[in-house]
Parts: sequence; C-alpha cells; structure tokens
Amino acid sequence: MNRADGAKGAVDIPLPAGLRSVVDFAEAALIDLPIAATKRMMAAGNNRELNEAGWKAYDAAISAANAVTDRTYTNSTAGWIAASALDFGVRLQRLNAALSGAIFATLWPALGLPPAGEIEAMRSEIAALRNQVQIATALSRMNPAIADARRMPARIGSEAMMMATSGVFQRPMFAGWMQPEAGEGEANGNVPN
Amino acid sequence: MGTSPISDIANLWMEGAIRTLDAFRFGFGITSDDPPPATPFTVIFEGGKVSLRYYPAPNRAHQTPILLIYSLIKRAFILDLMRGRSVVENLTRQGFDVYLIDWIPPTSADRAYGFNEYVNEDIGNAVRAVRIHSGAEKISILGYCFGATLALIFAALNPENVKNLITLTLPLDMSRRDLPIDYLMHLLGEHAAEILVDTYGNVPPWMIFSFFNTLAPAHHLIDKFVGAYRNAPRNGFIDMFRLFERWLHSDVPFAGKIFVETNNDLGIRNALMKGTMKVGGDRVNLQNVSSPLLNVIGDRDDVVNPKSSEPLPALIGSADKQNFHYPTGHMGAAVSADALKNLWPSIGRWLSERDS
Repeated sequence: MNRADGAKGAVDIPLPAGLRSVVDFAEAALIDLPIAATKRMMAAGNNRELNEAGWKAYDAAISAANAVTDRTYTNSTAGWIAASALDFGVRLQRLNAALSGAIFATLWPALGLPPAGEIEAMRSEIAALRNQVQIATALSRMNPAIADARRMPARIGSEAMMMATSGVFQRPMFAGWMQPEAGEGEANGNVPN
Repeated sequence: MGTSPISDIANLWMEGAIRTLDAFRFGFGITSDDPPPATPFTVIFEGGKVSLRYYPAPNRAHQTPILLIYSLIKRAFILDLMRGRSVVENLTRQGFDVYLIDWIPPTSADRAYGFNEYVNEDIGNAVRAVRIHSGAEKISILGYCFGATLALIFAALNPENVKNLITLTLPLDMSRRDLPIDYLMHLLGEHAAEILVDTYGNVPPWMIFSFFNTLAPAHHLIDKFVGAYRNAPRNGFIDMFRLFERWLHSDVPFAGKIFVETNNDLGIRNALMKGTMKVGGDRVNLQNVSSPLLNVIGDRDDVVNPKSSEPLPALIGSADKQNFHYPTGHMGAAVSADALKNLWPSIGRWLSERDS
C-alpha cells in the first residue's frame, strides 16, 4: 500500500515503482525508526520494536538503491554514455596491448627471458597435445567404426554410429571403453558408487 | 558464545571479498576447483571441450536417458550442488539415467571455438556417446540458460537424435527491452565485441563476473551478506549460501568466437529468432525441431527475460509443444527447495509421459 501522507485511512496514491521505493525508505528512515528509537529511550518501547524498525529502514534503503540502479540502466542517455565508455575502454585496451607488446617484445629477449606470449603459446600447445592424447587413448579402446564416426561432423557421423550399433557390433563391446578402469573414477576425482 | 551482528556480517563480507579477489585472479588463467559432487558419477567420455558425466538412476524406471547441457559461462556444479538441492539427484531418484556435459573451460588456444565447434562437434560427440553408452536410439535433451540455446540449435540441426527437448530459461527473442539486463546486453556494439576478442582472445572470467555484479550492485556488495546473517538460524542456510557463493565466483573464460557470434548474431541481429542464423554453414531453421518441447520459463527471472523465451513454441515444427511458466527466478529453478519439490517432478512427469 502506498501511504503517501502516512495518515491512517488516507487515500492510496499510486506511485511508480522506483519512486515508491524512495518514499518507503524515507518513511522507514525518517519516521518509523526515529519513533521506535525515541520510544526505546523513554522506556515505552522494547528492543524488538526498535529492531524491526531498523530492519525495515534497511530493506527500504536496499529497495531504493535497486530501483535507482534499474532506472539508470534503462535510461537511454545513461545507456549511450555506458556504451560509449565501453567502446572507448576496449579500444584503449587494444592500444595498450599493442604498445606494451611492442615495448616488451624487445625487452624480454634482451634480458634473456621468454615473452609471455611464447609461454602462453607453449602452454596452449601442451594442452592441445594432452587433449589429442586423451582422444587417441579413448579411440584406441573403441571399435574402428566408432572412431571414424567421432572424427566426422555430427550428422554424418551418426550414420556410421547407427551402423556400428545396429547389430553388426554388439553394445557391450563399446560400453567398455567408456567405463573407467577399476579405481580410475577415484583418480579422476569422481565419487565411486 | 554469541557474536555481534556486525562481526557476523563483516566475516561473511570478508569471505565474499576474498572470493571476489579470487575471481579477478581467474582472469589470469586460474580456475577454482569445484566443490565435492553431491551425486556419484563416472566420466564416460572426454573430447574437445566436453567431459561427459554419467549419473545412473538407483532404480531405473525410464528407457530414455536425459542429457543435461549447462551454460558456458559458469561451472555446471550448480546442477548438483548438495544433497537435497541437486537437480541431478532429483532426476536420478525419479528413475532417469542422467548424463551431464561438464564443459572444459577454453584456453587461449580455443579462441576460435564457436557455435559450430560447440554444437556440431562437442554436443554431437556427447550425444553419440550417450546413445552408445545407454543403447537408446534417441535421447532427451535438457538445456539450461545458454545451454538451452545450444540444445535448441542442436535439435534444429539434428532432429533425428532428439526424443524430447526441454529448454529451461532460454534466451531467444533478443529484441525485448523490459529488464535492465536487456539494455545492458546491447551496450557492446559489433565492432567493440570484435576488438575485445582481438585483445583478450577469450572473454576473461572477471569481465563476465563484473557484468553480472553490475546488474545489482547493492545486492552483491551488501545485501546478500546481510541476508545470510538474517537467515543464519535457518537449518542449512549458511552451507547453501557458501556453496552458492562458490558457484557465483566460478566464472570461466567465454571462447572468443562464440562470444562474438552470441553478441552479434544472437544479440544484435536476433538471428536465431528470425531464422537467419547459420552454424557450420547450415541455416538453423527452428521449424526442423520435431521432438516434443517443454519450454520452462521462470516468471521471476531477471537474467533471462521471460518474454524472450515465450515465442519458442510458435517457431518450432513439433506438434507437441508448450510453455510452462513457473514462479521462480533464474537460479531458483535449479536450487530452490520449491523448484526441487514441484518443478522438477513436473518435468519428470512430462518426460515419463513421452518415454515410450
């Protein structure tokens, strides 16, 4: 209920969601909380009443902050400023990357150190090799028909897969390569059954 | 011994701040470990960017297995968070054999990974592995968030492999402008997205993390920690809060090519919705989707606009298709007690009616 004037039995005035949050916050922080605090000090109220008024003010403050954030994001001018800043930011990043690349590309070799790009490339190469070994290991446990199917694009491969599973080869033959060896599950960090 | 509210909140905030710093550290290539899984599994296939997990049903009651496809920007452990709060556990207890694609985070060598690589190669291989492992001719696919986009594209390109399709919180119609995120998603122009990928290769995790925090700064900086303090007496709340925080900080790099395709084709051109999107040279015609479809929409979702998901049934070729509105938020669909009690059993019933 929107109590624009705070009076009991007052006529409800519909407010936009964002403005309602701000009004609720003002009401909780400027009216309810001081009243509860004053009553507590005069020993007429209790801690629970003050506690509730405090949390109400807090909730209203968070709602108001969220409403302001949402209004900002949906505002076209703010959106244009943010988009321009983002665009400028990524261009600046690229310039920065190009400049630092040009400077350090000569500095690191002069000091006898490999550039970060080379280390990164080597790490990527090792990761790619690891992946290839992994796939090759899996393939070596499979029937050649499945291996061929896996190298093909999905839809073409599925036909080979259908052939492989249509009775020419029996399913248990293929299930084996996919099941981990004894104890392998634990080594992979899996939870054993 | 009791502690003061201020120190309780300060402790929670400090923990969150440390996790945030960790998240920024991820930008330099370090990925945090997942928490221990709640449901036992075995990895049955690894290749490309896919690690395929198999969660057998304790008492199998359905013939068709389910393949879960999660989003690419955070870790999939949100679907198996803890006992009693696990989608995977929920489905296996309903008698479904569940397979989950645990996406392997892309490295700098994977910047050219796009929809073609993720859908036609990786999901294609995963579906093939599930079919071999389960012996099922066709499988049910359930995609969540961006995973729903991947699942939908796969179903449009490979309808012969899909028995049932469930899309959960699917971003589809990107022309909507109702929520703050709808506006934020369109801040990055085509050229800026390309420059970003030229500079970084993949989109760094800290950038994705910052984007989602920017959506609700008051919540992420203060309110969630205060909320944790206020709800601490509730049984298990703090354990759940800490796990959820861990997931919130589990961002991984987003491969460069698929980021540009997502921003430019899906976002700016709204190509999937308009039927003009191409993957691997083939047009993604949603009319090709012929399997039964359940399109689950979170009515309180503030990450994927519910109105963005709604048009899907009208665009696909299936005869059996429906939107299923549920009063939940984007992540509540996976982790809330209410969703696990009501939404997921409903999904299970829908699947079991289409099992034979």
